[in-house]
Amino acid sequence: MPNPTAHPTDEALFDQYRTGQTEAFRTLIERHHDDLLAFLYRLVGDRQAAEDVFQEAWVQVHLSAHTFDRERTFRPWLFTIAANKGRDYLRKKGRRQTVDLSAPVRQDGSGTATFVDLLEVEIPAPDAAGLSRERDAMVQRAMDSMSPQLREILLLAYFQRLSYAQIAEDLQIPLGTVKSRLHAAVASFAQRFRQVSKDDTSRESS
Amino acid sequence: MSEQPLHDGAVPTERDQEAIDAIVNAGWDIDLVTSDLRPRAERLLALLGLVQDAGARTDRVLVDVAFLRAMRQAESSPDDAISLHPSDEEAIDAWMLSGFDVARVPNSLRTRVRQHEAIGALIAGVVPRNTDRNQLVDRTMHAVASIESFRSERMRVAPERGFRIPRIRLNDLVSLAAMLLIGTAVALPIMSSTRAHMRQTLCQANLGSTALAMASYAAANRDSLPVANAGFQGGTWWNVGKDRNASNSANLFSLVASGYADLRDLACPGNPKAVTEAHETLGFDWRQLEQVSYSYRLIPAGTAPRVHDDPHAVILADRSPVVLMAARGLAVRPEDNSPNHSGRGQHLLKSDGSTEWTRSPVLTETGDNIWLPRVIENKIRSVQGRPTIDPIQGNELPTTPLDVFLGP
Repeated sequence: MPNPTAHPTDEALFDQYRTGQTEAFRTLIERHHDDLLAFLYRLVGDRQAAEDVFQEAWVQVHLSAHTFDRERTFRPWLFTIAANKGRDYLRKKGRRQTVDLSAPVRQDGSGTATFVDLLEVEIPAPDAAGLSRERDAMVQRAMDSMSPQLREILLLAYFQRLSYAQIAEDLQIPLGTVKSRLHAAVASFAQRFRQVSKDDTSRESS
Repeated sequence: MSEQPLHDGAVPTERDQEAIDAIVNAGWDIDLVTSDLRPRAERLLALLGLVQDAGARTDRVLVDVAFLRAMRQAESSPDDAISLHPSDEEAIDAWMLSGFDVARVPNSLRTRVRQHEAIGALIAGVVPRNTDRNQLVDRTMHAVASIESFRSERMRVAPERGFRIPRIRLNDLVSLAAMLLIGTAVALPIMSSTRAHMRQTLCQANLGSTALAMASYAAANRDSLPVANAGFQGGTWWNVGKDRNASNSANLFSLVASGYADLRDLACPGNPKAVTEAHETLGFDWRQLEQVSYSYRLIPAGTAPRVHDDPHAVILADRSPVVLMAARGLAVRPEDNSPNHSGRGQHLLKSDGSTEWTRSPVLTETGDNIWLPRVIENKIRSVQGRPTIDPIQGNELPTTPLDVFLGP
């Protein structure tokens, strides 16, 4: 039978911290370090900025400790705070997407949509041997070119694995909007990843 | 009337801007545009649909509108023109609803769901390299400790007793005085700047906590913003601590009164009169105007603003300097910043839970001054320079639902 004190839950550790055990907070930071930093890196697209936001998120966790609802789980709460901080960062940075008027646009104005069929997109299997640095950079390039709203919802669903209802609560948007926005986000990512992969391949062959 | 940008989304590339300038400067005559920019300029003209409309070429409004059209087309090109295959949409829904468990997804969708799983793995990727894990954890712990130490320092009221000055000689005293002078001259500006930065950081964290509290309040109260009264209808709203129906701060205080927020979250470190203990308040409101650290959106009677109405609407900010002056019967300067941060700027909290630091109370996107109702802003708009106006009466209300007006 597992010993709960040997590997306490996040909530138990946070309780300990709230009663003054500082080391419990360090354990929490170390426990979520990899996932949270990767999440923020994907969200803000810059390593140094991700580390800054990482710190701000934990400071906010500390300052909001008394508001944490013990009935909820710690991890989604932490990621919600981190996503808010990431959003603040992106807004402050005032990143504005640059578009090229020479880029192809709908010629006929008919609004005819193009479907992205994932079965036609070459995506490495999850069990493929470790992600290479190049592939990781390609993923980041594809994500950076997405709009912040689509990037955020894609991360909350596919990285953080929150349910539709949790995402709706976190982003304060209706459930139907979550679904349609996530569908658009996946389509956008798949198309951009395919384009980035193509660019990469053609660069290598030239 | 001030000129507003027609859009605030994407911007054209530098090369496109050159082409835009070239075609405008050429009086919309494509033949006068240099050859290197001509293809882009032609593309631009095609997008604008102006090629056949020579008569309107010099119409500035038409140019702006046409430019906006072009930007919308260009902005909408990548994401609006594509959508996910219906089977993939079905696969996402099934995967999400199964709790991300492929085994619980119908067989017919499993192949597609595995593709989605693969995207998840791609996105999860790897932790950024070259990051010293322990160093970041140490830095984070240090940041938390610094914030906590700063907060504790604010709470300390009495010096330690029993401190004795050791016996010293005159030479020691002179050396010590010289060192202190030099040290102080060097350290004071740094300390002052550090303390201001810490106050700003803490204040922003306060708004972050308040955003979480407001979200919880909204979830339990049909998406409503915190309210303690039925809204205002021409009556006074700055009678802090006297009558909850005549005090806008009582609306904000309802977050504390109903247990969603801690009083400390609503005490800006830059407000020397801020209170952090419940007994220093009335339980339904602060005791006096000076104790209130943040100004909250004024809600007219008969309206029921929801947190989702406009995600970018400003609902809370560092306290208004205009209300502080006007309540004393003094003339106000509408473009002053909040006194919470020595007039350098103020934090804003928006409906979507995001916070922002601004150096002016006039919102960039709308030109709206958050300290005043539109009706007064319109009156003073024609005044040049830095106008002062007669004090407001404390019974004014937002002119429209989109008019941001905060008090006290």
